Amino acid sequence: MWLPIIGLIIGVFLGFSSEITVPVEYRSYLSIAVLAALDTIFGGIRSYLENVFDIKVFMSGFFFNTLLAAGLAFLGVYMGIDLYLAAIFAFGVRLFNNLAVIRRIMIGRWFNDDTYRK
Amino acid sequence: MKIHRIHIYLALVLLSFGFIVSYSVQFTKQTTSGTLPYSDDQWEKKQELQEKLIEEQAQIQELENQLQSIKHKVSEFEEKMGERQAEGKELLSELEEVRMWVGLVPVTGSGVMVILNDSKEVPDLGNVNDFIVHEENIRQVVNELFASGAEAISINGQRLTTISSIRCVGPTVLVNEVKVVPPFEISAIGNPDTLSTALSMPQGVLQNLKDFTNIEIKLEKKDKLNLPAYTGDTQKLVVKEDL
Repeated sequence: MWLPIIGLIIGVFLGFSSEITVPVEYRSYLSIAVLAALDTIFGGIRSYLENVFDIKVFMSGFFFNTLLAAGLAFLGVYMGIDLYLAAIFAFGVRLFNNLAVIRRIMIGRWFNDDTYRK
Repeated sequence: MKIHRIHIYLALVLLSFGFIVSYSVQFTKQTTSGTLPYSDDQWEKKQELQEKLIEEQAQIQELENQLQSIKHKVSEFEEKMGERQAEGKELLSELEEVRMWVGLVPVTGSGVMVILNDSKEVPDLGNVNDFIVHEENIRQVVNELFASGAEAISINGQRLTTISSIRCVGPTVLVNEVKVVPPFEISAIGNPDTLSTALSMPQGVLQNLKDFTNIEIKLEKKDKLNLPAYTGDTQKLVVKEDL
């Protein structure tokens, strides 16, 4: 399990040390990308706890969701519609859904009670 | 320890995740700590403003140059003005001097005073004319005084000028068209010694008067004489400056 943690550390380090600046208009893309990444991570944790974790789904979900969200926001800017709001909304809802499921599972495990599981 | 493939994938995902999250955190820090990155139109605006600034600066430079040259001109004019002022001062003092010579200002100085008076005792015999002062006598004295270097003369307070006359009308004498009566005080500013010597030299004016008339004559040297200014008409009607 040490390899993913090293990867995380390297990623954090790279992010802090990078000197690239993003123009203000593209800030929304970044926020959506963060949201998508978070969603996928929590989705992965959930599926792991539910024993349906599949690395292919997880990986494709991570990159595809991130890129799609960014692309949606990009499209929205060009169409004059705040499409990134849709992405934020969708990801936000999914994020909280995932968190709720994870919470239930954890509580169930903690108290050894299966009734918390759906 | 065996490396699971799944771990490699996970590492990849977590690396991206960490990168994105930490990058946005760092980015937010950067933007909130002052160094705002500019958006495109802000850039454009900045560019525009900078160009304007440069333009304005060029204009300022130009105006400053103009100012400099104007200042230079002003200093030149001031110099000229100073010269003119000096000239004016000179002219003014010259004018003052001329006025003094002509008799338009009161003057003071040392000199002599000649007093001619009619004889007190009028005899029954002889010519009455020999006992009173005539304008001719005054003229002689004045002439002699001017000839011997008097610089200003007044008769009973009438300052003699270039247009003065001394003449006789009936029983009175007119100086500057003003009646004067005996005793006639002729005040002359000049070197007192020279003037008195000139008047009283043998066969001189006073000697002649003494010899041929009976009028009273007094000659006094004065350390200080105050002569008034000519107060008559100075309007010029005909005379013009010949340039």
